[in-house]
Amino acid sequence: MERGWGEAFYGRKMNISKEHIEELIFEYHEGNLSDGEKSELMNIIHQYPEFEADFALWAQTYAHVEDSVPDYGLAANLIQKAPLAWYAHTWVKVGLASVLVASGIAGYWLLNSNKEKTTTLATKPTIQQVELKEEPKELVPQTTIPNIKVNNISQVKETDFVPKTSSILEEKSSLTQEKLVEKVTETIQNEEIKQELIPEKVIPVEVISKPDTVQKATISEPKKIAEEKPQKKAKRKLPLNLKPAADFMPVNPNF
Amino acid sequence: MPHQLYNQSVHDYSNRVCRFVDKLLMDSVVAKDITQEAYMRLWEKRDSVDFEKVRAWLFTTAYRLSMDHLQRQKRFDRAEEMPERWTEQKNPDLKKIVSDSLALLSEVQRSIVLLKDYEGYTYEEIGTMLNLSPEQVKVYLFRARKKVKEYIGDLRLVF
Repeated sequence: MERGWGEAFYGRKMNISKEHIEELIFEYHEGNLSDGEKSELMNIIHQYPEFEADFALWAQTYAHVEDSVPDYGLAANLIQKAPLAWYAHTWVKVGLASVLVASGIAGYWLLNSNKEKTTTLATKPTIQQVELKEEPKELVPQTTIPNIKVNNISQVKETDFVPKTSSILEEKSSLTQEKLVEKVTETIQNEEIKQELIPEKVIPVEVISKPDTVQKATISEPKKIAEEKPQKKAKRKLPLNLKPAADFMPVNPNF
Repeated sequence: MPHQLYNQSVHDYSNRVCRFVDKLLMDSVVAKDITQEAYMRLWEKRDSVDFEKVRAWLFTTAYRLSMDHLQRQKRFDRAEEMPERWTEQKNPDLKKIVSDSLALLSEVQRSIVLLKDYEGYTYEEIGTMLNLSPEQVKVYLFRARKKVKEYIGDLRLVF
């Protein structure tokens, strides 16, 4: 069912009458009236000619409407260009260029620093070289063991020698060696002296109380023996059968 | 909304929006400024604006910007005050008279008349733009046309 103007305008259905002639004319020009309502309105206006002027004035209120749209010339200013890609922005380009320049400078600097390092390494001696260039220390064999078989001797290494000044063991070993030699010689001498001092024949020696009177026969024989036997002892070679000291620590593991 | 559709909206609606603001504010220079402002906002919010609703969005934004402009300028505090160009014209044609008579209307009435007559929006669409109900839009429009009609009738008596 078609909706009437009164219902549309006032929310309730109203009769077409001259009391609401203005609202009816407004609805007519707005295009809200049905064909039946339009004919009823036209009948009222024909009945009351004073409403014809109002009807014409209401129609003229739409006279300002223009068909053509004027050109304000805004389109050229409002058109937007396509947004640039992230890499096409100027600041991105500048940033990339600066990064490239910085990396180039850094690379150049690194190369130069490496060259300097290689040259300095070539000219400067290493720690080993410095140690080698130091004054050669007198190397002394740690131990001198005379009775070593040739087959048991392994190749002598540099580590078998200890600098003379640096090790305390060397002094100890030298000391023990001397002591050993002394002890050994003392023991050997004592043993030989004992053997010689125990003669098979004891020669009685008379003690002369009077120094003025010298008894030749009794004094001359012991003296000769006493003088000749030490000479024989000195000529005799002592067999050295040395053993290393208890605190001796050989450096060569083959020992 | 991609920039191609934005440019298309510029081609399609920029002059219409500018005309709406021009008729609303009676100032073509300000109308251009407001139209540009509306399109700048559209460009900023192009990702959130649907192209199918861009026309209504533009007119709504232009209307709000116009209201802000009027509040700042306070040019039309007294609705009865007539523009000078209207009173100075001795033999204006009817189109010009009616167009200038819009200055007598309130901003809401004028906006509704412009959106209805120039852009052909329905009451519902205008109500959506101006935060009014369709019945309110219709009442505003009736009062606006009645005021214009009375003014035209008064001028007929003068001339």
